[in-house]
Amino acid sequence: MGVKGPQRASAPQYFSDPGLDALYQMMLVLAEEVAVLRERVDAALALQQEGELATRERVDALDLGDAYDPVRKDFVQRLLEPLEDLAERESKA
Amino acid sequence: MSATLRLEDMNRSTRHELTPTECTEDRARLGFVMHLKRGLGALGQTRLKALVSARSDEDLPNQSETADILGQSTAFAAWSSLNRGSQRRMWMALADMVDRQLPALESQAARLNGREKQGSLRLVPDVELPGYLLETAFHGQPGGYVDTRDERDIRAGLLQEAGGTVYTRGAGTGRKDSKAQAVVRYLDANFPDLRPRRVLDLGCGFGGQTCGYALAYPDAETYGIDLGEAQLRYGHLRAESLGIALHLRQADACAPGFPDGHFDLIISNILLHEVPTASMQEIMRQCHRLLAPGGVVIHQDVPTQVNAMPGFARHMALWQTAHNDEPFWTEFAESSVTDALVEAGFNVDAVFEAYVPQVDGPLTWYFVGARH
Repeated sequence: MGVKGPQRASAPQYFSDPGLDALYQMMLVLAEEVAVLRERVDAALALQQEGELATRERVDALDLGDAYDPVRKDFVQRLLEPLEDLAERESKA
Repeated sequence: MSATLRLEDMNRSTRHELTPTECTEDRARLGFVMHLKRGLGALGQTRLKALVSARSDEDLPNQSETADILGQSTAFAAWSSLNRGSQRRMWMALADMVDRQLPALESQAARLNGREKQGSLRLVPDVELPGYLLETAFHGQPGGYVDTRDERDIRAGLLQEAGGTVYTRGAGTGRKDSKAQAVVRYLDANFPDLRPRRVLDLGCGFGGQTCGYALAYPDAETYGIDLGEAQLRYGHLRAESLGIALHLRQADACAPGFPDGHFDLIISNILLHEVPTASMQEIMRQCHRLLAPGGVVIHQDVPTQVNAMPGFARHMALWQTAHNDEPFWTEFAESSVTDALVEAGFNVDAVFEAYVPQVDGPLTWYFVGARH
């Protein structure tokens, strides 16, 4: 019983040094964790603001809603800014 | 049939009794991935496009020149690595969310399975699976389309529905429209007399669009076929939870079964670019066999075959082949579905194709089909 498909995607290489590809992936993992930490802290602070105890269950359950989306978008924009600059420098080179 | 749901409700906000619950951590991870995808998409369309223009002597550099210029760019290498990584992050976050809740969701599925059914599910344990389905994690989805662990498994369907939502929202698509709505709008405008008694959705996956067709044609029996067992099991119970009668069968679109002339409407959504050309041609022959006189077949897919597509847009579209586990993307772009329809027996004058802009997003849908 059961059919086993491939558990992860193929892994193309984009830089001549494969270590750079690995470094980009490690950076993404870290950035994602920062986004998670920040959103959990902001959920805890929002609970505290309402005079509630920020338990794990309450933090997990509190949906900061669409109003929080600009915070996520702004973080990603800052993260990508150095890449935008790099592309612009290459255009002028 | 559900008395309250409408086709317009079958979009990427559809909730049902098997929808996983998102906690703050899930929302943060998936929000990060969605904005990363959107940010990279925008960066590609602005800075990378400007880079190609700046480096080229041509007003509109062709695809091969675009590929040469981007191939020498460190920024493009970084963009590619991050784009690829965004897909990996998406599936990791979704697998975390789904796997954490899988025991509870499987119990819920068992409860749904115990209820009286409106639709049906027919699985074929020894169905033949093409090698490419066993070897490809399409779009990087863990396990690909056909991963099935045991006779209760619904995980591939859960991942597919959740992943589709994040991926398309990351591409800029809104929540207000669906592929089924786009197809039905096209059919209403071009075949207003079509009153299908039986509808078949080829490569239906978890039945997200199939539910839309069942709601659009409430007097018809709606069938869906796919090869993914866990997708179909999930799709069957998902539809039952929504109160929609679907008849789902495990079968290859190249060997769908059913008697000749059994259907008045046959549809596929983004299936053709995921099969080899020979299979696409066989699917057209099966559509010709299965359609009743006056019936319509319509396939909706990616618009990559436009030869007039500018070099930059085409290069970015074809990037998917090597970088999003899409083995047949280029093959599809270079094939002719209209030729295959004519070769399958459809009258050349009855064949149609159209490019239709998304109502709630930046993409263009490709429609191709024929009337029998």
